[in-house]
Amino acid sequence: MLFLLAQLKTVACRDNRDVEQTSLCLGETVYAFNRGINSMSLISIICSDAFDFTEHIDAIHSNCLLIHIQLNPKPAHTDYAAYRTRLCSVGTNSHVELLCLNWAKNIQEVKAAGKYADWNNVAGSAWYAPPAKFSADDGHIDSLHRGGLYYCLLAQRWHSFFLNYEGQIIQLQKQKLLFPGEQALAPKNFVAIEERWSWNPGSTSWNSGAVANDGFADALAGYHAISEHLHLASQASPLAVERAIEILMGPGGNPASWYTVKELDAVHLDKDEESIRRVTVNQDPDLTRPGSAYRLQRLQRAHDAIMLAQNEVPWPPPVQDLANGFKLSWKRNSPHHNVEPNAGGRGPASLVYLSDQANNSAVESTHQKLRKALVTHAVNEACVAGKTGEEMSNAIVRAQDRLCIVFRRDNHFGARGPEGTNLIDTPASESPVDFSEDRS
Amino acid sequence: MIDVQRVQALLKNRYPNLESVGQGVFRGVDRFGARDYAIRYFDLNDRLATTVDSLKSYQEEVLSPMYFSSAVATDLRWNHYLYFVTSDEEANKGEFGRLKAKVEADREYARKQVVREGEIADLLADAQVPESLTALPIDLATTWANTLQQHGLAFILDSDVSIPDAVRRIVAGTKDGASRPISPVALLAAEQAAASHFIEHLTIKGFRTHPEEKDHSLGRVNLIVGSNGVGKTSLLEAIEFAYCGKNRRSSTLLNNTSITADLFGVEHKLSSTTDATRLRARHSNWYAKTEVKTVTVQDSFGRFNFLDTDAAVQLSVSTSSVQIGTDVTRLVLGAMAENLADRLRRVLKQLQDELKDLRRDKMSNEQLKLAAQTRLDAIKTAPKLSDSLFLELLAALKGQGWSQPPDEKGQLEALRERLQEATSTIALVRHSSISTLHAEPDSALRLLTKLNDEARKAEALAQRAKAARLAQANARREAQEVAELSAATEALLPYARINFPQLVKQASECRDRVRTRNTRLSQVVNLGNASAIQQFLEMPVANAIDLVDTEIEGHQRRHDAAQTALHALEKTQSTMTVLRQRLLGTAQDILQRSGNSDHCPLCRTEFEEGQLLARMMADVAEVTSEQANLLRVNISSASEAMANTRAMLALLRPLHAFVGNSALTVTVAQALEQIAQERTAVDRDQHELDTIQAQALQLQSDGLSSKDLSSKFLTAGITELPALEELQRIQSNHKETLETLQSAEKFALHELDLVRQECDAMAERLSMEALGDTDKLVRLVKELISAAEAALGARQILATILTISNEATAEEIALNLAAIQQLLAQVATAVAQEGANDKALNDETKNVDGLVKKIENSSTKITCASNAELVLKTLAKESSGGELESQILTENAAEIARTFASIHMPNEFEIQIAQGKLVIIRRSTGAEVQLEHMSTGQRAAFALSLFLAMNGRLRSGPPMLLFDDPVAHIDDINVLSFLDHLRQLAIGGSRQIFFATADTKLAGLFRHKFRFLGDEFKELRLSRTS
Repeated sequence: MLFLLAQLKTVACRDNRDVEQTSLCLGETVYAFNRGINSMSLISIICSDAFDFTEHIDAIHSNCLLIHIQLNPKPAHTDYAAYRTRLCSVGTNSHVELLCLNWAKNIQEVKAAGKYADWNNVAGSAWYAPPAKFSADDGHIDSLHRGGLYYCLLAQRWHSFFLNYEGQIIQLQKQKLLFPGEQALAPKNFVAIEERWSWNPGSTSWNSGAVANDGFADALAGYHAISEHLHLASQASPLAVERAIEILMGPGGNPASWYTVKELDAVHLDKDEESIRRVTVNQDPDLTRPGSAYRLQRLQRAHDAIMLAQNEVPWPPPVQDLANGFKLSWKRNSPHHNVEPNAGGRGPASLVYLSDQANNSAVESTHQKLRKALVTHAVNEACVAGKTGEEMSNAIVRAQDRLCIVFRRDNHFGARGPEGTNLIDTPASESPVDFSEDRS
Repeated sequence: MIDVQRVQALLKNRYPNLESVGQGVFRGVDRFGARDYAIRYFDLNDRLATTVDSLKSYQEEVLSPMYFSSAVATDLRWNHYLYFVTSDEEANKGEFGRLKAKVEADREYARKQVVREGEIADLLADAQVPESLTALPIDLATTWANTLQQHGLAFILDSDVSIPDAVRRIVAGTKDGASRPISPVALLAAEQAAASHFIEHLTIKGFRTHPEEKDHSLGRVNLIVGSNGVGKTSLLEAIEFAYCGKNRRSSTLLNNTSITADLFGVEHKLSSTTDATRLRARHSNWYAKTEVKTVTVQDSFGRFNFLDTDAAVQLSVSTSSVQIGTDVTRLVLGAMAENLADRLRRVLKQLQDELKDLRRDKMSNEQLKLAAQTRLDAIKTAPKLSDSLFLELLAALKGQGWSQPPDEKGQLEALRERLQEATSTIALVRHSSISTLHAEPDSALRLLTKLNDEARKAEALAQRAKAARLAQANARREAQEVAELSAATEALLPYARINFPQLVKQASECRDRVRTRNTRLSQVVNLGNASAIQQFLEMPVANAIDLVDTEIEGHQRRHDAAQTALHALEKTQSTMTVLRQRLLGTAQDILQRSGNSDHCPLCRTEFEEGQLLARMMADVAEVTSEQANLLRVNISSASEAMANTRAMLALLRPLHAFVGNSALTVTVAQALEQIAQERTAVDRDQHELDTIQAQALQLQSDGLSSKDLSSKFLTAGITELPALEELQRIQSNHKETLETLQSAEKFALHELDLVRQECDAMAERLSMEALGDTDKLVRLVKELISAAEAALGARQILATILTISNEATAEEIALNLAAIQQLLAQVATAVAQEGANDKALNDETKNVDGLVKKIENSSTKITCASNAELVLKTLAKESSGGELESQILTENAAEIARTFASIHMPNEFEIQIAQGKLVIIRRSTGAEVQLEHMSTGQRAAFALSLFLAMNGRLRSGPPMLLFDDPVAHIDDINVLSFLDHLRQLAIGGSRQIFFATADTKLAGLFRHKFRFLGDEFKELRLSRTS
């Protein structure tokens, strides 16, 4: 069979045999059609044309959907990433979306003598959207996840929706690129999946309704302590799993809102290679990429944390029940708690396992941060429930109980519990920020 | 070993629901109503030494299940207590003290205490407050008032009486009347209820920073929180005000201040009042204190109900033992007692000063009295000289023939005046040039008449001399005038001789003439050759000019016409030249274009080579301008004729100007002749003028000029020069007059000489020196007359005063009079001296009497004051020795010790009574400790103990405990003890507690400790905005 591939390009792409560099006749003219003011447009960039696209960016990038077609083992290559970075800074406020299409996975290259070489490539097809187009609703992200679109955050708060690598058919509902004039109701959904079909080799037909395989189950295979319940949890909500592990690592961001999607560390793409860091998304076969390393570290930490119950951890008295075993769990109504003890009925707790990579000040600052978050949440809840006086005080005092930072030093475990809150001559202040006090 | 069974039984007795929470560890829960308020653990294992090292894990193991249980209130976390019961054997081990201290200082989870087995019963009994003495402690003011009353000195404590006033009254010995019997005033129903009921509701209106109405719901325990200055103290003081109607801290009250307290379960409300009767009734019923004058119920309220924070703080921080004593007194006896003691001391001090003064006065008065007596005796023995001297004076007067000698010493002043008069007159007589002492009146009159005649003569002489001098002066002045006139006239003579004015006139006339002619001739001065105008000689000048003008016009016209023609011609010629050139060009062109240049294209003629062109060129150049030359000749001839005619006109015009109006009649020839004549006349006049000027120049060189002449006219007084003869006549007249005047002057001089001689003669007669001056003579004579008159007058006056004996000379009389004057002075001195002595005698007698009285007075005062001093000294000693204070402290020692022990940890000190006094003993050494050697925190705890003990004594008054930030300087552990103690009081229910603080930490702890009371715990959050 003879394939004839015709590419019309203005820039040559580099490959190991420099086919394009040596043989391609380069085009000289870029034709742009239908560029009316305030009208939508569709632009197609083929492969390495993106490298030479910078001089057109300012002129073309408004009100347009860019389709960037590539065949590339590394779609997140530095040069392409630079192009997207440029695009992000230019297109943020001008209705630009980028649909980047790379080949699906399992590409095999024909070698001499009937041999094939596996590309072992990253598919990396993704739909990029500017910040204002998507509201990052938890349920929506989880439902896209099931349908095979994995949400991450690109640089400059751009949203990216990575396509599942498998062969599939997806029926999307996509919001219009541009709404001229005012909208009465403007839900920021960007894209929704209506139906998904997957190929059934047995019956050689497309089956509808299949949940996309995010690879998490396979990734968990090595971590028997967590595999079962985390897999279950991820089926309920992949984001909840990300959050439970995020606390376990010691939450970054603002103590009160670290758990919102945009502040979750795992949701941000790796800065250097744009690789996905979410533990619940495992499509990347190359384990040396930064995203993979990040994921593995988190899974390992989660696994180790569960094993703490079987170790000599000096559990602080208020969380003594964790010694009897617990599992990772995150619920929206108690957003700063990440573990659920197996027994005891004292409810969820916050557990941070800093392993042996934390000094005293890191332990202390993590503790302070979480304590503040817990108390603030308790105060808000109590206020909403209309509680005052003693009830409020009870809520505040108890909120600080269920918090424990575990670390390991000199092969011994240490734990930072509610120190300083159990002193008989130090009253529980009403709030860490002490807004009640009149300091005038 | 601990008898676990027995202790467990004790615990079981106290806590029926006692639980065992571990090996040998029991838990008892204190309940109040439906709420737990304390969880107490008792460890009976007696293994303190091993437990200390793992105290934290021990507690976590034993305490944490309950501590962190979500079933119990979190407030209980601050109300965990852990008691390690220890056997005596353990306690006696060397390490025990350190272990105990370490355990008790630990602040995690629970308040820990190590108790001996024997103490456990007491610890459990702690809850019951022992009933203390029922009576109120003695009161300093009342005690003192009674003592002073007995001595009639009660007014000393009356603040209405100022201290100097009080001292005056003591010294004066004023006794108070019998004290008024105090009729007890019944309390109102609300006031009665206030002694035993809590406040449920407080309504504050118009108090300090609360101008508007404020309403506070109160409970059994009230926490008042807020930063400094938001009115915490004011709120407490409002309560004080509700009970006492005033505040210890002075405050400005608004007019409408009104504070109402709703008492719990009582119908009537207690309202603040400032009515003294009501307040007095409250004071006497609540605090068993009667007072007559100032109402000080707030002082008693402070002593029993309202912790005097200032005194408590001072007691904790002051370093001087004296100040500490004062502060203890203030706490125990109240602030008023301190004021009273202070007042008493001041009265005593002033009284002692006064007493010292009185004694010194008495002493000095006695000395004064002694001195006065001595002076009195001296006066009495003084001699009297005036009488004998007066007799001497009379004798002297008689000797001098005094006409009216005085009868008694009282007339000495009159005598002195007359004597003075006599002395002055005799001086006049003595100095008179004429001896008049013995002159009779007739001779004196004659002398005067003679002198007056002489005076008249002298005046006549003076008149004559004056007239002669006048005449001489007049004659000399006139002679001088005439001489000057004569000289002026003399100077005019040369001018008259040459008739100078005539000459001047001629010269000026001649000069005028020459100027006139020259003016006329100047018009024709340039008249040149007249030959050009020969043709007009016979014609009148005007006609000649007209004729010439006409001729000029004719020439002009001709010249203009020629000029115009010439211009036209030149224009035509230039046009022709252009046309010709063009023709030439055209021809050449034609010639070039035609094939043969030598073949005329017009006439077809053939020329030789180049000839055709040359001909054409020559043809064109051949035009001449004869006509133009002709015209130019015409123009130049016309111009020439015109110039000639103009020259003629130039000659004729001056002539016309010269002859003027007669130009129509005078012919040109005549005019020329006239000009010649004029010129001759000018020459002639010029010559004459030159002659005259030469003559004038000659005269000027001789000194004669018209300017000199006019000045000489001014000197001689004439306007024009008269004739020579006339001038000579005038001159001779002048000379005659001069001679006459000179003779008159000579005559006047002669007369003057005569007068002078007569004057000198007269002066010689009167033995004076006039030097011929008649005026001086007159003056001297007049002086002589007045001197004589004065001497005569004096002599007459003298005669009236004394008899002038014939032998006596004026000098003698003067000497005698001086002697008499001296004598008189002696008499006067003696008289004055005797008068002064009499007065001094009187004064001294009175003085002595007065001093005797004063001394008696002082003695009485000293007695009174000494008595009072004795009484006051006793009281003051009592006060400074702190007897009352000790009595109260001793009475309450048990309660103070109990309170101190419960609010002070570690139990380093113990309070005991030794020799009737309260002493603080250091447990470790058994030695007595002075307050100033205790730490500030310990002293603060001691101050609180004192106050709480005092409050415990109160049964009949309002059941209040008011604290205003009471725990400064107390360390945290002791604050907790204090709060526990208060909690015990609150649970007992006998006191309503108000606790104000700005310390958020303390407020937080307070909250944790008291919130179990539920609705009975009230938190009043004050802030500036509310």
